[in-house]
Amino acid sequence: MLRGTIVHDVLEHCFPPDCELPDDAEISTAIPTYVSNALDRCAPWLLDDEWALEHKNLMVEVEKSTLAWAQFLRSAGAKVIGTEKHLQGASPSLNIRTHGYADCILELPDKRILVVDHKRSKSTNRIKRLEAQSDLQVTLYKEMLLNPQGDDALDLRATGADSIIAAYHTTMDHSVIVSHETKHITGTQAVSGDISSTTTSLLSERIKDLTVGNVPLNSISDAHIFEKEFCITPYALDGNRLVQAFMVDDQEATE
Amino acid sequence: MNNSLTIVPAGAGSGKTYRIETTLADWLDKDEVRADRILAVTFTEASARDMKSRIRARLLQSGRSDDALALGRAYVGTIHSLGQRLLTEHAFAAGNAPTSRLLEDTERDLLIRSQIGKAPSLQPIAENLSRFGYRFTPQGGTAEDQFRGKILSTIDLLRNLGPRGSDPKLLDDLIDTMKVDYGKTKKQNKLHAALKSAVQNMFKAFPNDVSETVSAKTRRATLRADHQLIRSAAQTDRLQTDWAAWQKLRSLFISNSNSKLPQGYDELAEAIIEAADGLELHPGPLNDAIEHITGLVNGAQEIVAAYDMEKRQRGLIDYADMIARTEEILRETPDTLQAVLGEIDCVVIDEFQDTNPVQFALLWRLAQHAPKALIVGDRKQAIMGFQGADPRLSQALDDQFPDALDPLRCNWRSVPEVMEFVNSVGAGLFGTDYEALTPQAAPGCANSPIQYVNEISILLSICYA
Repeated sequence: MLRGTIVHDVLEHCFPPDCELPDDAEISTAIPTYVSNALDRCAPWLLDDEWALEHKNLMVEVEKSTLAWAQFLRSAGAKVIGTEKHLQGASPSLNIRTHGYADCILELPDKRILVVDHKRSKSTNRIKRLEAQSDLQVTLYKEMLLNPQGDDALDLRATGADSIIAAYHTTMDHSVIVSHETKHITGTQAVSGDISSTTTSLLSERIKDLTVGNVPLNSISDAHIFEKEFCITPYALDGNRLVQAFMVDDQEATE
Repeated sequence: MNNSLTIVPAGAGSGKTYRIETTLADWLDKDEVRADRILAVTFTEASARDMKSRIRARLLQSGRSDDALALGRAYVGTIHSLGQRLLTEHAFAAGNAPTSRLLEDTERDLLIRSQIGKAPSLQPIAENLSRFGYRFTPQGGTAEDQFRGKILSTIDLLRNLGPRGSDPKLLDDLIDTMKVDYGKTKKQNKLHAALKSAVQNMFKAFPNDVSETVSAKTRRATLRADHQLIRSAAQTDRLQTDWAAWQKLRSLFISNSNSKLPQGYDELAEAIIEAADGLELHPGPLNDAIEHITGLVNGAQEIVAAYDMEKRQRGLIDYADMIARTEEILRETPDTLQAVLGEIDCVVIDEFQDTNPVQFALLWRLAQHAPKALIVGDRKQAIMGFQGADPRLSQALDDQFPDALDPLRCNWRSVPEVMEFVNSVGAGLFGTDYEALTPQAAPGCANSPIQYVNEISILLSICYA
């Protein structure tokens, strides 16, 4: 969790919107300061001698991820037009209003837009999840950009749905996974087809239940289903005693 | 060398405790040893208490109540309690505070932990843990935890070696051994150039992954991973140091009867596989292993030096100090050795096979100069290898003093049927090193099948330890 926060923080500060991309030497020089500043805010204890090993390794990991991200931006000719961008708008697929923060918004030379979420993980599971049509996060970001609400909402309606591409950047293996593409983007891996129909339909059902006053409880087998069918690690079910206390067995759930 | 050294190899159930007690009683009866001048080292505090109480009972039975009382002043305990007592009694000779406080394990880890970031030799490894094989695992924890664990175990290993642990030549010997074990290598530049060119050819011909050309999910995932590997190998310098990447490139996916890849892909993949097979003769992994061991040994030596200084300044000792410092004092200050020897008539050591080099050095320094010494052990029961115990030390002693050997050849625990079985298995496991024990229990007396299991499991666990 902490490492992810630090990586996000450094990527945000190293590649500010509407600025020239720094070269590798500039990045390597700047990393220690960015990491130290981030640690000062999030985990000052990690600056002590006892944590020197963790500190050093974090620095190495952040530098590798940042250099790889810079290489991707260069090879794709991408320009950063927003970081930690607040989005709000409607979600037609869920029929609710949503808001959130997109880690990074990129503009490609052909004016296509990439809405990127940085993940401190490897691409393997993320690809599996997208192939299982179980994405939610970047899909909602894309919907918000196309259906903005509120005065200061980022409005990319003019760009068009086909030209807004949802993407995940997995910092552990330096991959960029894109949802669909009409034309290949250098340095990315594309997952064809729908990436979110399973989760959006499931969530729509839940929302409908809630709107009529029903609170469906999770069943015992949900964790297994989330993991095997949706490729989602069920942290919320596995690690939360309170949630577990309100879980019902499968028979009760169907009744 | 003293005049009465006795080395007693004693197999399981051969009556070694009885032998120690009767020998001590005999010495006491003949007034060759005074009760308060016994130095006996046992494996556990419980066995020390047991030994003391049996000797005391024997003395009381023979009406020697003064001697029974004097036994309380004798050195009878584990090697650590012996070390702690000697360190306290000879604190000034050692340059220690007379009331050194024993460090808790957590305090020790914290002290060492703070030194790790400062040890210059460790930094090349610390900066690239994954290159040296440290990765998160659910069992082992984070890469940092695993590296710290490796440093701590290296420190323990070096400290268990005594003065040899800080010998700069130790590293040269290790590296020489590694080179011999690794075997022949080829020039790395040629091997690297061949693989680099092969992956670049592939990446040029197939800049995007070809996973969409197959339908099976697992094949697609494999091809995607292959492409990612090829891309990074072509675009970055990871092939210079990433041997896991070389290894993965040796098994790229190629067409089979179910999955046909685009034309030209297989030839390029096969060229990569052939070039990556050069890993077997690549000197890179050996050089990394040498860099790793160099960093660990030098780093551990740097940390030990700084950690020792810190402990001295704060008047602290740890468990390893109880042995290492005592051995150092006895080695470096002959007056102290003489003073200790002046207080003892005999040295008795039980479970000798489980001593590590520094423990051996400490005990042998006393045993070889004491008027009488009785050393009991069984190499087949050496179980403390994980703490640096080395049964070869015991073997060397047997070889050096063959006339002092007085093995116990009987077994008092098991019936002949059990012993026949155990002796057969023992001979199979240990060959000529196994000394068959003659059963002394009457045939068919109360022995349950569980005894067979116990005896055999002891032998097997010893053999495979």
